Amino acid sequence: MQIRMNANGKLVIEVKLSASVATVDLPLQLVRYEFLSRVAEGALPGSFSRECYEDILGFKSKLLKRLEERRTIDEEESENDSDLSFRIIRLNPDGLIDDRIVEVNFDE
Amino acid sequence: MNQLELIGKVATEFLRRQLQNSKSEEGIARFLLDRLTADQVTNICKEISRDMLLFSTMAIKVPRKLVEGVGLPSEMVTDEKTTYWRNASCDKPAILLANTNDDQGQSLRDITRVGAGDLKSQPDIWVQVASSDLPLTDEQKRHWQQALKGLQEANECSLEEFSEFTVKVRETIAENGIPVVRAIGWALPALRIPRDSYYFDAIPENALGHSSRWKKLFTDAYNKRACYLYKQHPNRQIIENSEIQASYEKVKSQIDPSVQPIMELFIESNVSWSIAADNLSELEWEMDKVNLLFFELKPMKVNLAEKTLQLYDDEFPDTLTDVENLYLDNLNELFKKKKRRKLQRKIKIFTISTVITLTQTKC
Amino acid sequence: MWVDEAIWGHRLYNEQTPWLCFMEFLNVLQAELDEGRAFLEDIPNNLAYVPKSRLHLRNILFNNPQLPVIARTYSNDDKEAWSKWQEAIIKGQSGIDNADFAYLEKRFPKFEHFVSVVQFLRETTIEGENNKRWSSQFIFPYGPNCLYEDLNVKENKSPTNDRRFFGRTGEMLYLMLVRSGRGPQLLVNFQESVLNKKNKFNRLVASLEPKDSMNSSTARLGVYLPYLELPEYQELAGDWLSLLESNIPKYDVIPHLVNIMGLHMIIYSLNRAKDVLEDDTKLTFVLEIVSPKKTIVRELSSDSFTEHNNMSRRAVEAYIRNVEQTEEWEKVTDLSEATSLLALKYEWPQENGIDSANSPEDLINKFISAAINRHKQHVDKFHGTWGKEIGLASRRGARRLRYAPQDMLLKSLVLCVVPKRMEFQDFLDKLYEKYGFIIGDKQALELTEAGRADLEAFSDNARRLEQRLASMGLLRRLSDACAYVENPFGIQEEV
Repeated sequence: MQIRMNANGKLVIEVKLSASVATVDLPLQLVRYEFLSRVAEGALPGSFSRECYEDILGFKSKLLKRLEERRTIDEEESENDSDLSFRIIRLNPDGLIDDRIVEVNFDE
Repeated sequence: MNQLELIGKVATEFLRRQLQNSKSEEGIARFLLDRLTADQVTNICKEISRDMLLFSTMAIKVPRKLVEGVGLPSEMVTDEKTTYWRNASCDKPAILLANTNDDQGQSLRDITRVGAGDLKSQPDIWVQVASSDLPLTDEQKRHWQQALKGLQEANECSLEEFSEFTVKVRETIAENGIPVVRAIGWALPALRIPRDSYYFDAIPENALGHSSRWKKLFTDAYNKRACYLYKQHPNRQIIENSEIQASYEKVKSQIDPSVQPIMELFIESNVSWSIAADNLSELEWEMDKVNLLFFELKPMKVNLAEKTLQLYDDEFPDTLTDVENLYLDNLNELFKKKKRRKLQRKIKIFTISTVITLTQTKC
Repeated sequence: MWVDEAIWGHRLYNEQTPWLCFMEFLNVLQAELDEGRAFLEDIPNNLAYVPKSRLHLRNILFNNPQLPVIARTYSNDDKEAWSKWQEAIIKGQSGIDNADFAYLEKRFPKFEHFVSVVQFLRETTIEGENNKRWSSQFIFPYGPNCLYEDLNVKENKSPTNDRRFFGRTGEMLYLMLVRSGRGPQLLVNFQESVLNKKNKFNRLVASLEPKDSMNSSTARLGVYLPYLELPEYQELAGDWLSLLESNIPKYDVIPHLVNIMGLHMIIYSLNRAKDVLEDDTKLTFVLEIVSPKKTIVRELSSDSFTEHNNMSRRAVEAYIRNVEQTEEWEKVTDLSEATSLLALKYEWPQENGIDSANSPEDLINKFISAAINRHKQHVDKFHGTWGKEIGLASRRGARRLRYAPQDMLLKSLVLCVVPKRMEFQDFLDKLYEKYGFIIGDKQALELTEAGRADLEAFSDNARRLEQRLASMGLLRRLSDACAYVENPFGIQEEV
């Protein structure tokens, strides 16, 4: 992931999930930038319109879509995987990220 | 004068005043009849053309599409778009335009909009026009004005409904010479509220100049009476035909035979507005005893016990245990008992008050 | 009696929310797919399918209050944790004969992983935390192993399908889609998402069930959808395909499928009522885009809602009164013949009967009364309940229920109706054409010409919709006159 200037001279957050799929860009306007900064700091004033929030949800959906594509192209969803492992990411009550790996031995 | 003609006259007077106020300004004064119907626009144009002075100062260019086949003189009709007339020169100091559905989004800087809301917001013009040739004092006119203001604050009605209401007030004053306050109560059906000529008598004489008083009464009329015309309780619960029928049977003897057919037609009609509702609204709330029809009706309190028993009977027969059945039966009894006691209290109060009245009259 | 069912089918059930209808539908589809019969119907209304019960899974997820306590108490001793937990669950579980949960220990190397997985899956409960019984809790349909039917599971009794929350509306939905003829296309799409058992999350859920778990559910039959063909079926299938074939990520599309399906079911129920009432005018809904103050549009949307809310009841009465117009009724000479006729056609009155009627006319009146009472239990409430559930009707900012669409529904509509981008006025036209929605002044002509409202009230209403859509990132205003609704997941190339 990186922040760069796109072909039109605009700043974007660019996420590249793998070499096989196109990047997903989130153009960074002033308001969006401030929105993201505030969220990172952990406090968001109510004056921010829902539009920013919806924009980020839209970005998330695009990323998920790209992820689906990557998985198909790179054949990641290996059907022979007898190991199921998951990374469960949560926010704990202090607002800190709780990141744990869960493993399941299950072979159908 | 019908409601469209009144709108025409009010708009004309509105424009006349606007021109007066902008006399000193440079350039052509441009006005736009904004999102009004073809009928409304036509009436306004016709009315302006009857006013020699105004017509000489104001050119009219309304889209042909809007007024097709109505018979307006061809100088008033244009094939150009509204945007053209925004800037075009004109031989008169003022120009009146109108928009159609299609070109409403156009930017309209430097054009004075005349829309339904703008017209409605001038109760003084409405009264001035509607009271012409009526024997009303200035004070009475002021009361009428405040009534219209209070009405607008109580509820938003359409331009035509508002106009219809004002027309009816005028008509009944002209024909029957009744005071303004009574005329307003008489004209309520135009707002889909039951007629009650004496309704606004509740405002003391010295408060008739306060629109807030009118607003309160209009609000109450909408919330507590108009709903019945739609066969709904004030809380919007539907009133079953059988309920009204039962209520009617109880009070039928007190109702004048001449209005009984109107009530009966209403009782049989469907929920929501109907011609029968319209006809009922024109009966007097108190004098024709329309209020009696709805007096006893109260929204149903749900008998939870009964409903629960019913549900289990319908959906899950034989699943309730004996203990559960007993509990529900007892609850049901309790509910019915409470209902009976309430009714008994009502009868008691009624009886006592009747006795008091009788004894008082005796004295 | 058979009145509601004859008009609407068996059945529309108000206590089954759109989400649960969708879950029931998936259960039917998966069961039929297992038998090689997905979206096929040879003999009308002969559907018989065997859903799954998955009682191990459900006990673990929803009938497992001891889990967090045991996890905390034995956090350092996995062996003890497993042992104590198994003791507790075997004791507390319901619905499984000879319950055994030993298979889990081998699959989860650490007890805390097991706890995390259970916690995670519980968080995907459909409709979030609710008060329903544990056997009526459903998790998100990641795949076929997440599907199971609603059951009544009591201690020491066999589980039964009491139709408490799977009231057959999902079965009717299934038949509607079968009869739309677009089943195969829908199936292809579903097999990539909710019916794909290779999905990782599905496999995770599968890991919670024993390999050879007993299915305690038996064949479910009895659904009845009266109409073999209806344009509503095509519309519903078409809308679902639009959503499924757009670029929305596979699972994200599901809430939108549910909303749009809910809308179509409401339209179906109202149109059937209109058919009985012999009203062939277009079904329209006046929608208020919520405004801070009271407007005429609010009144009109309230009236529109009330009118629709009462339609089904009027239809029931009209349906019964129609009997009086038939030749058979004219031939009836006395009360007993009348009773037989009604019993034959409508399964009413029942043997244990009602207070005796005086005459055939009186019998009809009693019938109407009984039918309406029954109708008010469920079908009468369908429109109001589902309207609220999908965000079409609300009381927001006012006391009365009226058509005031919420953001989620508006989003679903955009994602469904807009190919990639569409001029705002065209969008309003499309909503009117497809669903009968009256939002802007162009669609409100009938109302404005009758003098009930001013054009500007409706154009203000449309303006508010523009603002709402813009705040949701779904609309772009290019100039004063030009606004475009944009579907971020649309696939159609710009024209």
